[in-house]
Amino acid sequence: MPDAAARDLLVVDNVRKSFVKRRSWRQVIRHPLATEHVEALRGVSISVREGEFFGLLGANGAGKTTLMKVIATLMLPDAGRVTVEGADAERDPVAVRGRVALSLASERGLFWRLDARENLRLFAVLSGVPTAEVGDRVEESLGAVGMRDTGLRMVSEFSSGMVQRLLIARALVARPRVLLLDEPTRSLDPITARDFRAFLRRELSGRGCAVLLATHNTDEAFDLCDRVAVMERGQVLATGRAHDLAAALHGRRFEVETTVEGEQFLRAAAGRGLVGEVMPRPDGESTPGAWVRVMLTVVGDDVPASGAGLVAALVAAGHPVASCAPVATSLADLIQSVVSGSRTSGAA
Amino acid sequence: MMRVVWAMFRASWLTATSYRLQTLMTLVTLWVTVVPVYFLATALQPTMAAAIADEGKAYFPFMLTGAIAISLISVCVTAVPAAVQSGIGSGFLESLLATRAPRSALVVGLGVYPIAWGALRAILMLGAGVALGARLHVAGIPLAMAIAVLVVVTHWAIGLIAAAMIVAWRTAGPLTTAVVVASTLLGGAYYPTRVIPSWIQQLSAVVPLQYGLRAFRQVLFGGSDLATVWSDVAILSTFAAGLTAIGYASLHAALRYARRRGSLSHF
Repeated sequence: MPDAAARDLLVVDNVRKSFVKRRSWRQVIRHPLATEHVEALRGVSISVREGEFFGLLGANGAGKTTLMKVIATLMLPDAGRVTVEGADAERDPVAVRGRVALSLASERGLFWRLDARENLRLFAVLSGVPTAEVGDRVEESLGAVGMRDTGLRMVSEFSSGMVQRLLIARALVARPRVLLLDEPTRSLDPITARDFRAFLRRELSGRGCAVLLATHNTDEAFDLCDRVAVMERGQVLATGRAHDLAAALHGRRFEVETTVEGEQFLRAAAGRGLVGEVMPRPDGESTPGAWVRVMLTVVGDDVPASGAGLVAALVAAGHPVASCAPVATSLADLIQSVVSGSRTSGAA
Repeated sequence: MMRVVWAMFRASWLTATSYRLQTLMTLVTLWVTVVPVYFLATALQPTMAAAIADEGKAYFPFMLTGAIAISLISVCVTAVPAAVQSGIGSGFLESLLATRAPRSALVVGLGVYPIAWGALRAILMLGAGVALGARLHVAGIPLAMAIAVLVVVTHWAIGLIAAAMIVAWRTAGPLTTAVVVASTLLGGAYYPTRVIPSWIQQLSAVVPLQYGLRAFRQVLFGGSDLATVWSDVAILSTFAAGLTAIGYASLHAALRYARRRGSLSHF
């Protein structure tokens, strides 16, 4: 978690971006001069502090990659402003490019017939790394993604996961102040992905680097990111800690094991401000007196929000409880809750 | 800027030479090109001698330089657009443009290897021609090289315009093909422009290659000095400067247009 006094490295202020919509030949012939636009970003505002990990969550087409490209100066916004350490992306794009590095999930921007070191060497030079430091930076970046031992193997011989790691190493070689990562662990195996997240946290927080990452990965959103923004159709619907957003939107969830028959247990729990559902048994049958699992959702301030508090309250009320474990919210649930909440409030 | 250009040249060179057999075959192909030109030119020598009196009288070096020039300008006009086109498709162009490297250095760097390789092949073909009996004036080599550089710059700049069209509209239309065909037919590659009908000669006035080729041959094979070829060199220099300015401006505008449309990586 960054220091509360840390300054904003990246500020995105009310950025709008629309694209010209592709029309059919028939439409072009009937209305040759007409144009239709699709709004990709609709007044997006976020800020990312020194040492902060900021996640962009949302379904495909929500505008996450477009936002990253605008920040990286690859796209010009129609309106709004992006600044990186005070440098304006539209007025001073060279300064911004010197501070920002971008790694896109779908990108293939490498020399496929060269080895990893040669690719990084080139991008180190393009990023303005002093000649004397190029070798060390290349080794440092390769080490960061666990690729020091790739030797003379050409990139075309790499697996998709290795290519992904190399793209991330390429972003790191410039030691950027703001790192833009689009689904950085998408093609990584679980162990490498976990190590990579640990590396990001260890190395980049210490350097005061701000990291903006678009992700569909629950671990990244809940454990790596200090804050997240949920996007839909080019808008930021909610911003905050992923755990807090999940709790605020549909409470904290616990899986409780009890001998009280599920529906009876829920009726009793409802009187204490708890809502829930009975989890179906695998065999579909219910035996009186057997342990059953019940999912409880804790909503509101006057009910116990911790597992221990919940157990104490249930036992005090005479319910036998064998276990009570918090249930992690899935990213899909979080995004869906934010989007539904936004639509409901919009309709109201 | 030179550091960026050199780094891009090095990466392209390492890539090209990773295709080892292809590299060797390219060199073998040079001989396969030069030898038929030698026999054809020798057969046509009696017919062409009078028409090329100012440019050394020997038709073999005349025809060989024409073939070399067409090969070289083809590379020059297509090098940058081809790199841009493939870079848009793969996302490589975006990767380059996202770095802090100067745009001008990236533009030079994108075309530097194929053009350098094309120039090396041209020199080797010229050397093969000398081995087969072409006589050149050694004293004219520096000036001939300078003229060749102007030819390269002129056509590289046309390539920048084609690259700008690809960035903006995903096609360069017939531009590169038209330049190569016009240069082949009207640029004096295989016959001097003065033997073609007068109305077509007027069209050839806008073909930069004819000025470069004429001056190059007069210097290298006819023994002429700068004073003799001054007007051709001046016109070629004007083409080079003007087209370079137009090429840079159009590519700059196209990149801004693509950034505004958000189409840099959409192919």
